[in-house]
Amino acid sequence: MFKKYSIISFQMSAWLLMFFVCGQPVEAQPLFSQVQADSSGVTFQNRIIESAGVNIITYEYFYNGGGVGAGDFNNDGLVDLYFTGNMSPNKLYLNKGGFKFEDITRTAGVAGRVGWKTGVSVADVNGDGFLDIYVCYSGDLDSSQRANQLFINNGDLTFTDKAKQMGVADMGYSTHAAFFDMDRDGDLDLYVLNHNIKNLRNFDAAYVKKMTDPFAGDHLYQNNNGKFVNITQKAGIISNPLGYGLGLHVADINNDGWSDIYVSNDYVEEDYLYINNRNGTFTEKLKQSFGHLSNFSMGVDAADINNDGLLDIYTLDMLPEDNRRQKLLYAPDNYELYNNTLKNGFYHQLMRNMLQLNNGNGTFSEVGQVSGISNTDWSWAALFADFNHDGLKDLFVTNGYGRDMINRDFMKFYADERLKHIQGKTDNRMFQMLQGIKSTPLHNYIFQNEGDLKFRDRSYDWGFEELNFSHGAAYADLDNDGDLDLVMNSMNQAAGIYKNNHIELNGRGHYLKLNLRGTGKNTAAIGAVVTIFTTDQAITLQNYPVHGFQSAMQTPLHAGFSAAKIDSIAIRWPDGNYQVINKRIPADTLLVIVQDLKLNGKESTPKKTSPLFTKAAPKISYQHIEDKVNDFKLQPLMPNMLSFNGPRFAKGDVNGDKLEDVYVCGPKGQAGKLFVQNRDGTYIEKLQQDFASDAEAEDCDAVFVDADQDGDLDLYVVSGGYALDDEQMLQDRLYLNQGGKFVRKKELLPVELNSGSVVVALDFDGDGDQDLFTGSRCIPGSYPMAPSSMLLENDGKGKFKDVTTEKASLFGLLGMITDAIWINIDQSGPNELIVTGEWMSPLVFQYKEGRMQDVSSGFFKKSYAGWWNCLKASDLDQDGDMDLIAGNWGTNSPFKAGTGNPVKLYYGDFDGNGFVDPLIFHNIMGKLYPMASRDELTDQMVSLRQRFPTYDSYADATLTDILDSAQLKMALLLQAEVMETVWFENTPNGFVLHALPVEANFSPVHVIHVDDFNADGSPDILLFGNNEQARIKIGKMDASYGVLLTGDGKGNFQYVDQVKSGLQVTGAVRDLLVLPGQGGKKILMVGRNNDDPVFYQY
Amino acid sequence: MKRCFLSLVCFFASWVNAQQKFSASDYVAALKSATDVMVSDVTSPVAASRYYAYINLAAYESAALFDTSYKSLSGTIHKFTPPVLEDQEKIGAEPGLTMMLVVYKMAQRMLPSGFVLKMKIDSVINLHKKSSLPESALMLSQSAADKIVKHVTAFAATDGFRQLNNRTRYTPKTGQAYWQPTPPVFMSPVEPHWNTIRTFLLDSAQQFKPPAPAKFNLAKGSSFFNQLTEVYNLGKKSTSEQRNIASFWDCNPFAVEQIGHVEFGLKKISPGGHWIGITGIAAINAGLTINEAALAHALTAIALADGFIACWDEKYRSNRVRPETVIQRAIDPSWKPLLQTPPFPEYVSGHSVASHTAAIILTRIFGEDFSFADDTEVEFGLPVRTFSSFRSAAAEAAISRLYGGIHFRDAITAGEWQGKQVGTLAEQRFSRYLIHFK
Repeated sequence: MFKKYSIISFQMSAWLLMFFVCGQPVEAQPLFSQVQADSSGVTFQNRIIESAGVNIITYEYFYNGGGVGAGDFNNDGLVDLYFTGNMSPNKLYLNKGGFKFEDITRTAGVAGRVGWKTGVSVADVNGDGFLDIYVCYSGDLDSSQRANQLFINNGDLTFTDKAKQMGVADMGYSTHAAFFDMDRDGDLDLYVLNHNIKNLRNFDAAYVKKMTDPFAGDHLYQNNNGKFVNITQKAGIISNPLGYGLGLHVADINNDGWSDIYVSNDYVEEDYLYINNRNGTFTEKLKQSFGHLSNFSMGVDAADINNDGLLDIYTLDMLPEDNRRQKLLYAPDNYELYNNTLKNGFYHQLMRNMLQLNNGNGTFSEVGQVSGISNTDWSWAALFADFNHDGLKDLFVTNGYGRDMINRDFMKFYADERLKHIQGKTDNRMFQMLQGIKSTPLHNYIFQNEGDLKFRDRSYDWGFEELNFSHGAAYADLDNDGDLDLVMNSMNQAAGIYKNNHIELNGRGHYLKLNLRGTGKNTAAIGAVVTIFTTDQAITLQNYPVHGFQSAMQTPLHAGFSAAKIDSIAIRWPDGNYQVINKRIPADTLLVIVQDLKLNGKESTPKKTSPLFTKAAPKISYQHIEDKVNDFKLQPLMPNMLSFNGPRFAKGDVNGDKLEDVYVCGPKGQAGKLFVQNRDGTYIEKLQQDFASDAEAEDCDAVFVDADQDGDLDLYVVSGGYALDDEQMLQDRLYLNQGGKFVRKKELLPVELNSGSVVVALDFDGDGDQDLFTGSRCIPGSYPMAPSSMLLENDGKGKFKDVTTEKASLFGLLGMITDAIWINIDQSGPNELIVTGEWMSPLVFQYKEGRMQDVSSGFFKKSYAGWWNCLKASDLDQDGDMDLIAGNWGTNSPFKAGTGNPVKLYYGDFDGNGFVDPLIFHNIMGKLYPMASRDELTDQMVSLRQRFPTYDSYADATLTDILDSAQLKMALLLQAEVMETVWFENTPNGFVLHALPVEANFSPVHVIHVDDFNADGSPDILLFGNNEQARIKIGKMDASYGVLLTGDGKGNFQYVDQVKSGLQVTGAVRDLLVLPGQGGKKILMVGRNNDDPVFYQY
Repeated sequence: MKRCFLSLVCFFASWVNAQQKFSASDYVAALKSATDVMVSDVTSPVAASRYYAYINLAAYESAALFDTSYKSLSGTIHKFTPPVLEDQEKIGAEPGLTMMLVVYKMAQRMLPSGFVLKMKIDSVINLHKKSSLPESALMLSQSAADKIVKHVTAFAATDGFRQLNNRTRYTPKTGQAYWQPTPPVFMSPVEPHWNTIRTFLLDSAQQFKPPAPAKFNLAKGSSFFNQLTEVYNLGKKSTSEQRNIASFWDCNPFAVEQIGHVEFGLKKISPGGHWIGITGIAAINAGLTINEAALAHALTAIALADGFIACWDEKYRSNRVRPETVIQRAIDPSWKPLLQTPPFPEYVSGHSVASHTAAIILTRIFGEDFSFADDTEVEFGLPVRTFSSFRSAAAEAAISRLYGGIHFRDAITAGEWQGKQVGTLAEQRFSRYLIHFK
């Protein structure tokens, strides 16, 4: 039977392949087309009827919708469909082929009870070869009315509810449930996901977290010969009243052969990542694994999206894609609330979808914004599957919420007005009030995985323009043509059935469907992991039926791939046994693979290649203690704080013993420290009285130079920072080395109060002494205005004169400088000074005719304005000249930019109150909109409260609505067109920009180091950064754990995964030093803000 | 010449005629529409007190420009100079109409959503277009009103309000004794730099510095602990009358309700707004003329504004923690106050200050035993309460904060003290105006 289908489908795709080769365009029909209910016979609707007694206020998950169960209940080779209705009866439809379905609910006896029905799970629970149905119940009802049901398939398309006798009639407020073999004993155990129906927001977190709630907390049941026993507590499952479980995914997340569990929780309680301890218990490891997560986590899916064999995790949230809804629905940043939440032991959570890329070492990098899938509005189901057979799993998302409950105008104006209006006129004011809240249906999202972690929104051209409220969803090949069709459960309209036309349309690529047959009671081999190897791809699939939201699909595994030939299939069965099939594997068909116990093998453990970097013991004992301030209290509209700068390092031999010593810049409140190297390679701190006296200054950079030409190294330290108690602390300092004692010499430096960022020693005038360039970062309280950078000329005896006006007048208006280097770019004459910074393009200066002249246009043919953090020069392509690597903000943020499509910053004192107003505008769906929410903007410019009295009045506001023509005339403009960290190739025609692998853009880059780490003779690049002090809506930027890019000596770079590189650096890195290690090894000291440095050996 | 005289007579006749059309009730109604905008805009108690002060000041100055028996408040209020009109306007404008326009236009100019008052202004003007009032009088009334509004708003613009948003936003101090943002939405504290606003009468915001609050101390028997226990116990077993009192004087401009994802604010007038309401009730009951009503309102509103400046100065000096925060931390994690805790430090109680400041001025204007039925809260679903005097109403408003679970007793006592100090000073400074109410 299966063979027959496969032949048909193969012929079809071959025919279409020819069709395509003929060059006929085949895009007339979208990839998916909806099969109407009158044609399919699937007339099910999740009917929701609001009333005074039952509504969103009486039960807060009133609009969460129903689920979809897909499975072949009569083993006829056709996938049947089951839908849950919250208030309406569930329906079972038998697939008759050709997208025709028959409603057999009544005869099957699976309509469920009256009550509030939620999720559905499909699995062969009793191991008799027939799929059973588990239905969850919730709602503000008696516990007896909430008992979940298990419809056991009698084998004749009739079912009997055996939940009670089997022990799975869970009476919690259930959202969903998943059957899986947690203990590898061959039968299926059960995890039930519950939620609280009470509003718990104001509480003592530690107190509530310790409580257990029998109905709100999740439950784990162990299957003991058909009897399920609740082992929640014993197994280490959290069951507190804060559980607002909305998403459940069971899979082998850490790739150890045992099933793990991911639970997504709404509200303040974090999601749970339960790692299977292989002894019947689990350990929750979310905080160790993720830097941050979705705040109002809803649906979750996990899949290998980049074909590296590792399961990536994707959680949904509520952030809208378009500006209007963002401005209407998103609450302003509240730092007190955020910090209070952290203080109460909760974690970094932000309202947007999160894509957690599995690094394979227990850590994940969140890259949802790089991938372009972070904003899909109020979303429920996420399904990763290869809908177009290119070997890359695409993404489908359902969304929509019955009413815009979080509309800011509703909250601030409408609710109160309406309640007052109907006061006394009706008994059910709340219900009356609710009915006035706007209802906004949304289109589903479908994204094409284009590789390289990029997803492209194809919602419209793939056939999902319809606006609806859709919840549970499933994919399945309903017509057995080889591609995956989609099914969704929608509110108050017929369930959506979408036929995938891929095969019919162009047939590019190939597929394989796998029907796995396990041993023992786990007949469908839930938990098996399959990797299909083709000539150019390795597709990994995990066989777990629960995906999306409140839905399950116990259907054949489906893989697409581009090559026609499958080399081999590797299967790890649920019991851990391993099997490889590598002979005569057909493509474009359904394969049934039965676990053959005789063929059982062990997985060949891959040879452990030792990582390039290994963690080393601390060489220098240091703890950076940041002065915790909130710069946004001074200027609420900056993108990120400017007070968190260190630690920066300087090195030099201060005592003439030919060993390099280290100065560590001190943050405000902590003195800088000098560490002197001993003969044995250890370092010891040498206390310096004058450093201690200057502890209140924020050291932003430092350099050892022999300022007074007495043969030893003196120290110049740049003072900077943003939130300062004493402006005098901005004065840079020069410490003369007097026999190992560093003595501050105020009289040798000009008086200046510029908040600095960088110092470069340079003999610009070639007179043999060390002059200095100091770059300035910001004017505290006046972002984005920048003070003058300076050129300091040494009189030969260590006295520095500010010659900026006479010899470098252009330095007065350089901008917000972050870094500078003094190198010879053109290999002729003296060096050039290259500077860069935030909102600017790199600039090049040459000292000619007694002046520093801007020669940028000779080296950069166009502007590359960016939010540059750092520069590094190195001959990357080994052609003998110096190329540049420039660290930037990255692409993992809401600020999308490109050539001709800049992020803009208009600034000026627009309201005439004596202070600068910085207004950032960035591209949202093709148009520039303000970054600030209405409340944030009117807090900056109070006068705008009159122009934007409501959120609605601000929701479409652009530049000209915010600033009038007079204000615009006085506005100054800064722009950024490049957000990527890149390298610039030095060519005779100037610097040419080259992209780096996408991993370089996961996070802001603040540190660049170049060396031949893999000893292949070509320079490699190491990048560090992260930013934990951005605005709340930008969030904690923590996706970089240290990015190693190996070069081929020709300018091509390849990302080395974290397992191979061995790098696992958390936190915000701000500098790096190479220290000598033992046996010719080198030690990297990686300096982290408000933390200790970490050390790696290579 | 003769014709000219005749037309002047006619003009005066209609002027007198039209003037009678406006009464204290009209004044109160106009002010109420400003209150409605403030409620809708969720204006903080301090900002509301400032708006009331300038609106009523402008209205009274308008009266003083036309009726020489009333003296400008310049010389009494810091840095205030009287508005100036052309002779033509002084003679030709209709005083009552001018004053009504001043009230509406002040509110229109100053309030964020003041634009909604355009309809009110248009309807006042249209009404007079249809009346016997000559076109010229209407024009002159409008230009006079515009000048007064421009003058007073320019004066308001120099009081430091516009500079508030340049000051460093508040970061809660660390330590158990200090204020922390409170549930349910942990709002940022309201106007931490309000003491930089120019006072009207006080020498400085610090002139009446209350004694320091009871030292934070959770040891049994300490003053702080006793007061904490008092709030806690009252919260557990208050009488229904105590609960009624607490609710009546809640005056929370924005109490946030949260039901799952459903979150919305329930709005009421501010404490200052409540006392402006009481002033209006008294003005109407006592049969004041519109000019007297404007004066009564101006004096009360100005005193209230200074009361709030003094109170806010203390709030951000002591930065004291709210009962809700301490009780949940130290006694009972599930305890909730009857009223929602307002988003600013606890000491001293703003309602206690405002109520006593207002009561002193009102008592001086309307008399010791002026009984009244207070229906200001009816539109917010609360009953009418009657009081035998302003002082008894003020005392009830003050103690209501204890019943409501949002203040300790010493914050009420000290607030009452501070309110009386401000009220008494205002009464002295206003003596030359209060003679109108003998």
